Amino acid sequence: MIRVENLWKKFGRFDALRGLSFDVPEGSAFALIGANGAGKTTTIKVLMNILAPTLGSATLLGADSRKISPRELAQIGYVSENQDMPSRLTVEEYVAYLRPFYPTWDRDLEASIARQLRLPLERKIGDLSHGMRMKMALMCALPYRPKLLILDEPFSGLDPLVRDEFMEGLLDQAGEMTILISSHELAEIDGVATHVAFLDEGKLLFQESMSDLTGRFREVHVTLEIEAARPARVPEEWMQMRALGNVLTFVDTRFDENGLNERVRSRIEGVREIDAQPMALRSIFTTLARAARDGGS
Amino acid sequence: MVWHIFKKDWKLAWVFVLVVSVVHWIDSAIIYKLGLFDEDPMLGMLADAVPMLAFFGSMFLIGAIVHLDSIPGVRQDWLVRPISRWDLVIEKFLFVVLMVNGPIFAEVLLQGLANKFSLRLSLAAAMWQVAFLFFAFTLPLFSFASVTRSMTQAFIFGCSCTFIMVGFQTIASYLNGRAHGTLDRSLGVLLDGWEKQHGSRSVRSPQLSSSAFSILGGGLFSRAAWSFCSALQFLPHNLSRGRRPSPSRRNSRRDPALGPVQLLRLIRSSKNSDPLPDWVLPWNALADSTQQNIRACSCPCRLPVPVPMFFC
Repeated sequence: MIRVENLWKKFGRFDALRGLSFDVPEGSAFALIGANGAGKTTTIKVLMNILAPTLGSATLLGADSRKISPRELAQIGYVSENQDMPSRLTVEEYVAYLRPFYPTWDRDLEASIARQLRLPLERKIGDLSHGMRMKMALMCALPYRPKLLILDEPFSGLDPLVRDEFMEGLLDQAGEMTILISSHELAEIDGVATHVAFLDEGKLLFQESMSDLTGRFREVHVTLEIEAARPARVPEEWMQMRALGNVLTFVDTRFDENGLNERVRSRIEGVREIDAQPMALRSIFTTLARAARDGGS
Repeated sequence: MVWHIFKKDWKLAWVFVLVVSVVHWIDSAIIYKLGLFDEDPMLGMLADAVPMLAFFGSMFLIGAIVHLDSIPGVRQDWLVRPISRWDLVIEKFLFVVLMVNGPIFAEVLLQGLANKFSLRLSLAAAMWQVAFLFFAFTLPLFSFASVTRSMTQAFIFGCSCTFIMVGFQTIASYLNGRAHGTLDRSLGVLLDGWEKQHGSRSVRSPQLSSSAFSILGGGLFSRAAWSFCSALQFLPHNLSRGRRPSPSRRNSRRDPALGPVQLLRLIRSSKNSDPLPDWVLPWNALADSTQQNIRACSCPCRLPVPVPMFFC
């Protein structure tokens, strides 16, 4: 659905994107994760042909992003916190303006989404709160059943109630649609994203399916018979190792339920008990971000 | 989709359009009431001020119409919608022609009819006026507004450009006068009235129009739109190398040589008292003959545009 190959974007001497490559499979909910300034919005703007790439290429729906035409745009929904909309039109007027541009616009679906998101159709866009504007942007991106939905930081500045309404509205209509969502709010994409890519300073650190990612990360607590100390040789897949009392704690990034016991005991002596706990997405990303910052894998 | 976008712009700008149109019509009414001999001094003052107001109102209206869907920038909603650039540009042109030049056309036409000119003559004068304004005023402003990111930027750059141009031309004229002992036409153009400007503007209109079309062609029909800031930063550097700036360079470099280069070019261009190049001579001849005809015309003509004698 989306293919990005060796994408570079420079702003003067600053490299916003540095050789980015990733694939978004059809039907997936692909989360682009990273801290502020990691290059998520720039990537999306390049994909939407709002910015021209300095080097490399990106294709959406089989078309080069630089040659994206109204035909492709009619199949792409785009929601961004930075979108400028005509503030003096009412929500209803704006939706009426958009309808003819999309041949597949479904008015029943539009009405149903408006009801679900509880949007005040008679109010001017300029008078809407940030949360309402985001919901309105979502409402304008869904009624034509796009094949690809691109959400750029959709949760930024939304209160929990509005976030829930937004997510419900999104998930109810998702269907077979492919979703690309950029966010630094990890909790929000947990349970939504099927694939994830982690960006750091314009570089892709990894791209993986969510099930693989959560499956291979475990926080391991090893209880020893003596005072715990960091072993001399630690495999590179064990991160953030720390000792507290007689408990040694680390993150195993290649967790294997059958092999863990043997791997631990072969490297650490005096093991009394081994406990491996699944990790929250936030903890996984914190671990990876720290590793990336410290020059680890 | 042109008509559809047109309706949206009308919803957003109809008040502004109406206000500017009313100012134009008030101007027309004042000139009519003033009579042939400027009897009422209060009306005479208004007759000086209201056209300026109408002129600036039209300028702002053109800017506002363009910036309802501005071209440069990365936040515009239309960029991510299946809206054709052609449709958008045609709609803007149409809107500007109808909403900016339309009221002026009506103003001149009614003024002509009110002054007992024939319908044919009034129509001809109105069409001439609107055509002239389109190429010399509307189109250049349209292209200028199209390379600015917002109304605020358009206003600031517009004022700055005017200030710089007037300043440079004054300096150029002064230097030229001292060097050659001649009066320079460019200074006169800035200071004199409409009739004296006419000849020079006939020459400048094609220049302005062709520049405007070049800017529009380059700016509107490439996805990565040009912006005024980028042009300021990169024009001298890239012209000297004969190529267009790459996207990555557009936001990065500044050329401090721009001001002095422009100043030198202005001074050089006025060295021979603004001589006209050969290719514009027919325009100049037409302008001169038109002016002579107006001077020779003895009709009580109150039309705000010079009417060639053969119409009378």
